[in-house]
Amino acid sequence: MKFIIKILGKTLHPEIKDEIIGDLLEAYDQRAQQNKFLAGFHFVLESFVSLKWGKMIYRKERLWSSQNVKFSLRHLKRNWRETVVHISGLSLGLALCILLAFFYFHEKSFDTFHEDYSSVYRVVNETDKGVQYGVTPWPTGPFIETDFPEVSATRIYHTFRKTPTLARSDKKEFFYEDDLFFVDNNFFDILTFKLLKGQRSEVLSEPNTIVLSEALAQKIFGSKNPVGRELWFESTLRLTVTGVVENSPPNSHLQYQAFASLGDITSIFQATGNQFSFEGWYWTAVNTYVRLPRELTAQQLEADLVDFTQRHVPEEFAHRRNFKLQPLANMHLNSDDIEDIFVEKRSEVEIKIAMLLGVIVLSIAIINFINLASASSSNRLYALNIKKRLGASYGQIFTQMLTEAMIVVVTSLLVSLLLVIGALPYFNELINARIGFFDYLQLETLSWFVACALFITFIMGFYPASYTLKQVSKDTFGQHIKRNTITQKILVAFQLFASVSLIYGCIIIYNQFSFLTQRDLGFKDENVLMVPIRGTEASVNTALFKQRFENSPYVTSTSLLSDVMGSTAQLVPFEIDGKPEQQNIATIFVDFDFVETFDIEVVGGRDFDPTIHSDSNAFLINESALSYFENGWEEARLNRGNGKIIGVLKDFHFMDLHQGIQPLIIGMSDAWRNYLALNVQGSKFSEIYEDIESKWRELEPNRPFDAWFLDEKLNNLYRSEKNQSIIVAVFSFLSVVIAIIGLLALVTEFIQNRYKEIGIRKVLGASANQIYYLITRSIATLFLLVIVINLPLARFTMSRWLDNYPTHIDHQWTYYLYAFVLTGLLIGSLISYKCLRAARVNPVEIIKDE
Amino acid sequence: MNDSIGNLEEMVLLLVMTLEPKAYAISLANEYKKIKKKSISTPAIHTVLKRLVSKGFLSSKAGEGTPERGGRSKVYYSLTKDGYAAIKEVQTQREQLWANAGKPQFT
Repeated sequence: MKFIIKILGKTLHPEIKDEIIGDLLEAYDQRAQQNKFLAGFHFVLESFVSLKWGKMIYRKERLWSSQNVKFSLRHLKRNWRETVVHISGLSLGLALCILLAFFYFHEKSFDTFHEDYSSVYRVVNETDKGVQYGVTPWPTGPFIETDFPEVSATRIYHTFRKTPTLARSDKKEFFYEDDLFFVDNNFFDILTFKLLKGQRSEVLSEPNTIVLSEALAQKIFGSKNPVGRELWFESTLRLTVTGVVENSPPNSHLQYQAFASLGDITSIFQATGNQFSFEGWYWTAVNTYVRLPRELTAQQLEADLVDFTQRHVPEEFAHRRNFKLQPLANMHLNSDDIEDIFVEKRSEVEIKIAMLLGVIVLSIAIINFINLASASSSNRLYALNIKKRLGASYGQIFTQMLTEAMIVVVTSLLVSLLLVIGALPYFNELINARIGFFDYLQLETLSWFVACALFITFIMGFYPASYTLKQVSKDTFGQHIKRNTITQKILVAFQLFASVSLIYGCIIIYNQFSFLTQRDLGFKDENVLMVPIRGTEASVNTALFKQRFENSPYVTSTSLLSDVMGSTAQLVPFEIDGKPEQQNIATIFVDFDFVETFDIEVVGGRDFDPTIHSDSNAFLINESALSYFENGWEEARLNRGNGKIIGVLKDFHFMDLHQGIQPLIIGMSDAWRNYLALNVQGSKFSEIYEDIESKWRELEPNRPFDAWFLDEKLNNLYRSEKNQSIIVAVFSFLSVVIAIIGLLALVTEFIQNRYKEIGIRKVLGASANQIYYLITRSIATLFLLVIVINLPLARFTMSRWLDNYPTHIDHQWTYYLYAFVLTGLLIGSLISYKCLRAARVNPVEIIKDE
Repeated sequence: MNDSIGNLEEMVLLLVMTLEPKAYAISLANEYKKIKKKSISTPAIHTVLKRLVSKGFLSSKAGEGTPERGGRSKVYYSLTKDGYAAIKEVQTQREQLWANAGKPQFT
């Protein structure tokens, strides 16, 4: 309490000080008789409010006049160099911040465009071991609807992760459409994408109907009206177009091209060659979404779903079928731990890093202003002192300095908006979104904007102004001022700190990115041409195709594949001797030339051998799968045809690198001929491609030849990392530039203030080197100090980012060393240049200037 | 200078009249609470008092200090001629209005 009284005593205007403090104390005394604690609380609150009777404010003069603007403009114009530094730094910082804010809003807006989105949930399937899957068994949705009539549920089935074909009724041209989903007829009631043609309740009510996105309709039918026309799905299933839906919004977790009716599941399965049953609780293949009525909360339904599992799910699967509900709006950002198909997700850590980046950039710009304004204040003291002598009050000088800050902030804000408009297209490309400039400029965000601008003005104006006022109050006419350098040192230290951190972050992200794209996957992915063959003649008459391709001078070997190596694999149930229950194990199906084509090392047993007939029922496993066979793999039998394991392959990354290496079984099956991998050689890509395409045309004239190189496809998986590293690199570079501009200006100012001292030192015999040392010493010590503090912090932050990846680089001292040396060199060389110039100056020039 | 009187200002002027010559911030706040059954913060009272002083409706003079105030002197307020005129006018206007008002028809 004494402390508060002391503060009040210092701040309040002397005329009314006694009255106010006395009254506050008496009021406290009265209240304290009832409740001491409450009285204390009131006292603090009332004291705070009473601060308004401060020296500057309790006065009858006008604090602000339009003259302020004129004076401020004059001042800004006279010191135009400084003004340019301020405005360019701040507007760059603000522009980066606005872009990052757009990014944040964009990410947060995912799936919120659906009507009443907060009542929609996705059913997540959790096993007793805590593993979460975004996919559920087929019957989940329908049974939820029968058990809880007030809940509506819909299912989305992605055609078993394979690229299906669509063709017009004449079957002349085939389109590979990956983003085709089969959905229940109430789909558009739950995920309310806008229908451009057709009625929500009608479009999918019949089986064998399809709704195309605007883009796909355009691609297949051109400008003709697609409604009522027919399409062949996989050449076997006839679908009628009943509607057109808007193109998938960029902020939707579901990126689609078409929705077809799930009305007749049997024929869909026939068309895709799927032999599994959609009635059992074993196969998890569909995303299930539910819309809850207002009176039912997600917790209540989750609790009821425990009974639901016991009622419906056979006992052997029940422990793996704990159903949870995930809010629709969380799917994009909070699905890190959920195994999914087709969900666009982003880790929340990325958002946090982006926000951190924004704060750092803005802080650097603000600190630049504060540093410069307080450093240059000594030049203004004459003017301000004269003003004071002529009768201006402290308050008037204070508001004038705030006005200056305000003008700088408003100008920067306008400039930054222009910058944002210019940069938005490139930024959209980087983050893979379509943000429009006005999308997030709504009332709410705008008010945040204004609040931020005011806040920035206040901090930017306050410190330099109060610092300068202190000097004015000392009546320092022409005296040399003893500078209060502690605050300034802290601010400079922060800038150095931010620069080192940003450069370090850049180095780590860049290294992780190149690690992901260049690392050894354990198999050969260069020069592998992948030809999708499903539904074509090549999947039936494979031997002929393989033979023809191998005749080409460019092809060294070929292999059939069920999945894209290095990207996905399917989970297949196996019964293993000695294990009580079936095991879901990742599996790819191949043929005899697989090991040779992908150049994988066999570490135990042998490769498939075409001369041994029984090998077509045999399996290979990877090293990680050895954990399933504690009693030795040689004797183990797998359920399918009592298959024998004949060899063990060295672990390779059959899944993308966001996931670790899991146990893998490699088998042979006729049902899974999806890709033909060609190992090609030769220097001219176009020649190779044309040669193979011509062979394809001879054998299969009706189907598109749509081949691609495996390594390119795999690198695309890491596009998000690539863009992220570009964003961080660009932003870091810009903010380091801002920081350096600020530091440079500060050093210039600093040297100017010490010119006379330098001159006298030189007259007294100091050498240029000694003077150079004198000036740079303090900055160098600061820099070293910053590094010591920075090291653990930067390491911690980046570790959290790296933890997103099961396979990632480790921190190395050299990374840090690079960051340190790079920052040191950048800042050091610029500052040294300034200092050396100062040290070389002829003392006569300076001292005579009196 | 704005010479109109707000609700709270009128209340405070009346309270000062009642408590004179012992009208100062704390006694005013206590009296206010007794009549309105609602507490008022000390800074709020200060604000009104200072505004009334600047309008010329109140005058102030320093009083004695007490131990609970840490020896700081009280400031007593009293009505000026203008202040009395202003509040009287409010009262007259109000009486006129009441005299002319009919009984409301509740529906």
